[in-house]
Amino acid sequence: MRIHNKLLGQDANSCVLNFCSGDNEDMFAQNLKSQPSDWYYKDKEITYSYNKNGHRCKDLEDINLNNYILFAGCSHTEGVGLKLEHTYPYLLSQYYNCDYYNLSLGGTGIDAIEYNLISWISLIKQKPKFVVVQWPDHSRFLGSYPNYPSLIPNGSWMTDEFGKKFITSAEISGFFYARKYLSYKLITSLIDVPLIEIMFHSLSPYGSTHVSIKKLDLARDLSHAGIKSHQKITEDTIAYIGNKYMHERLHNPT
Amino acid sequence: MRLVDGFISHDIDGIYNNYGHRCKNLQDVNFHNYILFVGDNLGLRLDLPLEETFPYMVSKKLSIDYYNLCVFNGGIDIIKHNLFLWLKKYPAPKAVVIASEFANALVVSDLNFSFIESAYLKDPIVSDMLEGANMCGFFTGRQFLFSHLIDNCVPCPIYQVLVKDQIPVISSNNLVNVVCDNSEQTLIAEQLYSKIKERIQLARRSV
Repeated sequence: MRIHNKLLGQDANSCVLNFCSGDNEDMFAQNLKSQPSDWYYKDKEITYSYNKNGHRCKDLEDINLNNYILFAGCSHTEGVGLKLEHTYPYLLSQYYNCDYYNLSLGGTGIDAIEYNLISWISLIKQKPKFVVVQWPDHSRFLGSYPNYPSLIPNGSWMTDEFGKKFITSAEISGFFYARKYLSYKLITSLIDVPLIEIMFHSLSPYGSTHVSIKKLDLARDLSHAGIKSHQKITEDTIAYIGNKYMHERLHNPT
Repeated sequence: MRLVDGFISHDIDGIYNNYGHRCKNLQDVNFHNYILFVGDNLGLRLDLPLEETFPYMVSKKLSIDYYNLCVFNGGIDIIKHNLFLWLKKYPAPKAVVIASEFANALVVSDLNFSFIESAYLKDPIVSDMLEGANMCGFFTGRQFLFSHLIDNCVPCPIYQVLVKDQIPVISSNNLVNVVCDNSEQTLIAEQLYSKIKERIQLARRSV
């Protein structure tokens, strides 16, 4: 990850790739051998088109900033393993007939989400219709290393001694809870449009209510949520927004 | 530590204002002309009377009001939280001064966020965490992101008070560092005063 135009994005920017780090070519070759002959992804191409800021969406200047949804999250919201048209940010924006910008970055955690949302609020004066944040596992963090220009996403997959030591002790000591609490409070205080929270039910909670991600099928990498799952997230989010506003209208009739 | 109106502050004590910060009450601050201090022990100096701390001395010398958001043993996470929440809620200050002694300080809580406090450094789990965080790139990553946030999102001049040989909270070319040999308050106040004054004069000349 690196900073492009003050926002944190993938190292790769202004490019189109057939694979990405979470959905790589070697893994695909292996999966081809293990999957049935009628596997959906056998002959389907997926392209990852990253804009100038290293985000998987249109360039900022091509977004209708008067009518857009803002997304932030990790690989699930970036849509790793899926065609763009099958991802829930795309589907939601189609449903609401508006544009969208997707700040999501695979492998990242709340530090990247917080950085990008605070920067967005500061840089972009036009507010989104609403913000969708998909909260990742709270133990993820971006590491920086001497003489290496990029930030590296780290998390429970770390194998080096110090990484494991940090994650284990930060979990036991309650540091991850405190960091999450502070970032969550800050993000929710700074966003003054409706905030829709999405997360896997199995993760340690952030706020009190959220839309749960249900993994009904798998994407091309056989790890991330698949087409049906994104369709379900879209439907559940639409229903959640509907209920939320119905509830608010009932209680605030003005 | 406790949360008051969204801000992290100190528990109730006679030396703090009604928000738990070491300065006058919020309603008495002149929001048209003030400096904001954020940081930890360096900007608090709980061992000294308020009048002998550099935030007080600098603001008096500049004839400008101030608010002190510093939290004892806070560290970057609390500085970031308090600073960006402040900038959202209140008019921008004339300058932000960051004064932190422990850039790598960590705070802890529990699953239900029933408390928030500084990590106890003598706890072996905390020692492991500090060592791990230092070696796995966590601290440098956190500093990198915070430095860029400060560069991009703080709408006023930024000063950082550094005591020689201590790790800075922010690494940036867009701020003015005030480096002192020790944490002697008069010295810090004088150096900070002259840097702020110099910048004001430069700005006036350019107008």
